[in-house]
Amino acid sequence: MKQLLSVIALVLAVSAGALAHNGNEHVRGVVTAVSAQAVTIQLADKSTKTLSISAKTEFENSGKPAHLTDVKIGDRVVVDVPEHGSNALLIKVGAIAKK
Amino acid sequence: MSRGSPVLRMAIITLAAVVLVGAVGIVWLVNANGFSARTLPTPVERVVMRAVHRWSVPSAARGLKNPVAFSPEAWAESRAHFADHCASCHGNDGRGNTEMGRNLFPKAPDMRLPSTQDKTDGELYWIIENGIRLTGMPAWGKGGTEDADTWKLVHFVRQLAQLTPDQLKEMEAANPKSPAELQEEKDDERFLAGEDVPPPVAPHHH
Repeated sequence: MKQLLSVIALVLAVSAGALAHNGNEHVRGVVTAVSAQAVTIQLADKSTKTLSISAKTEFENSGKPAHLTDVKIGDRVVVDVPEHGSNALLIKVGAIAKK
Repeated sequence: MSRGSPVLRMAIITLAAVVLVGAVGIVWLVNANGFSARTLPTPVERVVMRAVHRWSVPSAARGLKNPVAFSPEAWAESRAHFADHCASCHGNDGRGNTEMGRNLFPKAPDMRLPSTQDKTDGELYWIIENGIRLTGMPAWGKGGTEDADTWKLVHFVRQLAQLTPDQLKEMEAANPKSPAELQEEKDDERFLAGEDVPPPVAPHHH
């Protein structure tokens, strides 16, 4: 029975790949503009993406809760957005981008 | 031996012809369209499934009482257990609004609704422990009546409406992750630390 449960758990775990981030996408980039309403990010391919910020947007810095004021131009960020959406759900702030 | 009246014989022949045409029609339709799990169960299927669900739980099991007292610790354990084993289909909030839950046949139910909440604790325990035939619900236990972890999950089901956003977020962290997701998390951390990493891959559906 334990083997059976392990197989089921494995199947579910592998199948969960379809549920990547609960349907959210990760956007990685460097902040080029930020306001109370939106953050603009330059992606690896040098294109930019503007994501809206709302009262529901959460912020995180080194795994700890942070604030909009912690997001600065030049920061590296990873932003969770709904698939095919543009409203930021969670903005993780990291190091200052290399020059 | 009487061979029956001509009217009766005609009625029987007509009925047989209607049944034959109907059967041929069903075979043709099935052959042309196949079966899909994406459709909703038909009214006939719903009636059959309700009956199967009812019969799948022995009457003695319906009256079982939860031997595990509800406590914040038991609730926390059940949240972590549910997030790891059940949420892929049922969702952390029990609504069944996940890719797998939406596409099962029948679809994973919204467990906050009376169709689940009206079941007795014994019925919920039995279903988690033994699964339900002809659905996506597997048997998670050994079939006994004293699996404390399963009884804690019964508490979890009862508390679905009380889940807070913080608890749901905590459960998200406990959801199973694929190797690709784990890699992406690592890449995110490396990117935030200033390293160069490949761009993230958009989530795929299957």
